[in-house]
Amino acid sequence: MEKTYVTFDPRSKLCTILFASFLLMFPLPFKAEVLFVTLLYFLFILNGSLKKGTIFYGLFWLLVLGDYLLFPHIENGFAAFFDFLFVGNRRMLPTIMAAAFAMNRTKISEWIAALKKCHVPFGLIIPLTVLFRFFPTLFQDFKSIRNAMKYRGIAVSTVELFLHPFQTMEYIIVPILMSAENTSLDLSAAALVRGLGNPKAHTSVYEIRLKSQDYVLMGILILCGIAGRLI
Amino acid sequence: MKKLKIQDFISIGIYTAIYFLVVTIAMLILRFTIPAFNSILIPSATALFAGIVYLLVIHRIPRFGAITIMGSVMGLFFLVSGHFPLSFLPNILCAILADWIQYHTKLSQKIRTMLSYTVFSFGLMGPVLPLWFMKNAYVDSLVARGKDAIYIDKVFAPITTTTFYVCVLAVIICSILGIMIGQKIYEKHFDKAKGKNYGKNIRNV
Repeated sequence: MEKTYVTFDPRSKLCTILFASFLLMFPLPFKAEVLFVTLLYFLFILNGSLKKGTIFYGLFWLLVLGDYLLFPHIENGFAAFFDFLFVGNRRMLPTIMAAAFAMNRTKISEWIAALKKCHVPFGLIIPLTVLFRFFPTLFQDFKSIRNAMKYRGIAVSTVELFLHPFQTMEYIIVPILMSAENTSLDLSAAALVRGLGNPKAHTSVYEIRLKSQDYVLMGILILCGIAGRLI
Repeated sequence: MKKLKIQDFISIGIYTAIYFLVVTIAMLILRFTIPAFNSILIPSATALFAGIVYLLVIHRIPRFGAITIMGSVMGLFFLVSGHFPLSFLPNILCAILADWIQYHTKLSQKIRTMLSYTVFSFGLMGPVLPLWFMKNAYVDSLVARGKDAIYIDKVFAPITTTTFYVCVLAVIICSILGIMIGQKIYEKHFDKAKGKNYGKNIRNV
């Protein structure tokens, strides 16, 4: 049996992403940044993905180290360029980390249920659901088309795909678009049978409710923001 | 006929997924060919290749709202999957503007499509914003360690303004080229294949 870990509500995960985005816009001092990244690391551990979290955390400190080593040689243009990359990517890391945390162990149906709870218009939720659900089919189609191309001797190796981008695009996108018509017909039939056309409110299997750990997480985020401003 | 039906929403979802596939392929191609600043070219590369997808959307679902929903879904998807969390705003705004141009202006058909596609392509400008934040972060870190702030700002000012202009220009040129290529592909594969009404009867089931 799988171990149980602390789970968070998708809405509080969304709050984490938004907080990271704001961090990108209104930079906090370095100390607060370290604090936030460490907090994200703990969230990964709580969520039961120690390995993924450690990779991100290690990457963060590697970027800091690279910046620390290169900084004395800043007069050199080449070193300055790499220093720029190190510092910039370090600033980008929290957002990517927050998003990875949000997608980690969250089912798509939970996301959909949470978005419904947030009163996102129905016309947006249906295409988004289709988008998520359609991806596996899309990758399968991609593989079959690739096989068919190889069989006919078009762009047999992967390098050739890059050498003739227009040909590649035409041979891959057009068949997918052709089959998209049929897929959309199938999907709408399936959706209508399952009652998507019903104008009444839909129910969900997933119970979306803010639990105590969600309130703790949001509280810490707000505190982190205030404390970061004060330091 | 004016209102969007369930089938239309599902078709929009599928076309958005295909559009997203184009974005992903463009991103991968750029990542392997241009090492450092590939993110500024993502919108233009996508514009070059995605013309046919956009054409199909406006031919199959010729109603106001389709493009808006497509852009908003792209934005939401970016937000949730965290590629460029800040890009959902430009996505939605550009999509609404493109939709308005497509259905509420009195230009000729060809120019209207071209214009709205160009505007729609600007929705992917999100990836350029991080570069600007990267620059800010760098300047901040230099200032924090005792370099002269005004001097640094002067050195780094051209980087963002030039890249911004390059990006805008590239998007305009590439989207015009892209819609022309799209039109060619459309005539070659979708017009001839099953007559002009191909795909239209599906929606009346």
